Amino acid sequence: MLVNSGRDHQAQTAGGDITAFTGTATATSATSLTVASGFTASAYIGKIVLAGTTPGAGVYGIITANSTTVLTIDRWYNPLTPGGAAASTPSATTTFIILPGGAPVAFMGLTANASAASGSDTTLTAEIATAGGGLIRKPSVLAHTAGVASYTQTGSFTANGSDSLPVTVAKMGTFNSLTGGLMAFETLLNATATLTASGDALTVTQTVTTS
Amino acid sequence: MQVRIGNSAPKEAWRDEDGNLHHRPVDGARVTTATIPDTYTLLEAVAAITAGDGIWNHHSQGDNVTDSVPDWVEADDPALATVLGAALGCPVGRPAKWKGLG
Repeated sequence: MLVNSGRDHQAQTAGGDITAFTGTATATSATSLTVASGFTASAYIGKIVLAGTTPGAGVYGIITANSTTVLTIDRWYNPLTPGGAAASTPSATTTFIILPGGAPVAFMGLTANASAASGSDTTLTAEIATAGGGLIRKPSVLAHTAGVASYTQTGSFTANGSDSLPVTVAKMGTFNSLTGGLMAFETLLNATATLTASGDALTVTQTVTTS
Repeated sequence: MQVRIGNSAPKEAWRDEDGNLHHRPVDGARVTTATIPDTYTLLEAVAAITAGDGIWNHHSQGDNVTDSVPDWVEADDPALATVLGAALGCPVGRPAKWKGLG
């Protein structure tokens, strides 16, 4: 199910929201970037901020909230390994660009909660978030066949010793960031899947139609 | 990391007025492209493509992974391409004479 926040995000990204911004920060942290003034409050939620002034060392963050002077992001990402460790915080006076459009819905999360998906949902209830676990939210595999009116997002998960097992996975969600962020889709699995031991694997595919 | 598959039996998904998901064949050979995150292990990448609920089954005609065989497979990672070729039963590398969309 494409939830309400996903509809908004789809309009923003595919519909051509060209709102953008360029500037120089006055402060940065692991989850924020601050300027002296100039932001329009809440105008950049869901967008990507690109920062870092050293060629080849750019990082990006996904904006989850903003005031007139502060961008709040989920974390800094290394563009080459978005599912890996957080990237280093850019310098306090980095130049930056807020890109038009929005961050891709590229991350999949799982839950054992089996309640029906609802358009008004903004989070995946009881999402599996065990630190270091193999069943926590991760980047998904986008697949598309040239010219067809649908695409798929596939998550390939492997339970490990950090996961709380056994667990029966019942529902998935897709998001625009690795932590927090916007949930675009929420879908009950066709059949639940029970993982009982470290090494158990689960593949989940969501199909999205575009026509 | 990209995987590209020569698909002579492609299908697409569509939803009826009640939101139920269906599939229908589409004409012509096409390339199915998958973008695999670099944090995936080799096994996870292979599973994402070849599992029953994986990409090949969702993009090729039929209800099972083995109902359609790719014309070819290639990947940015040669090891992944080799394993996928063996798992899917197809050659590695796009033939120069292969004509398809994508």
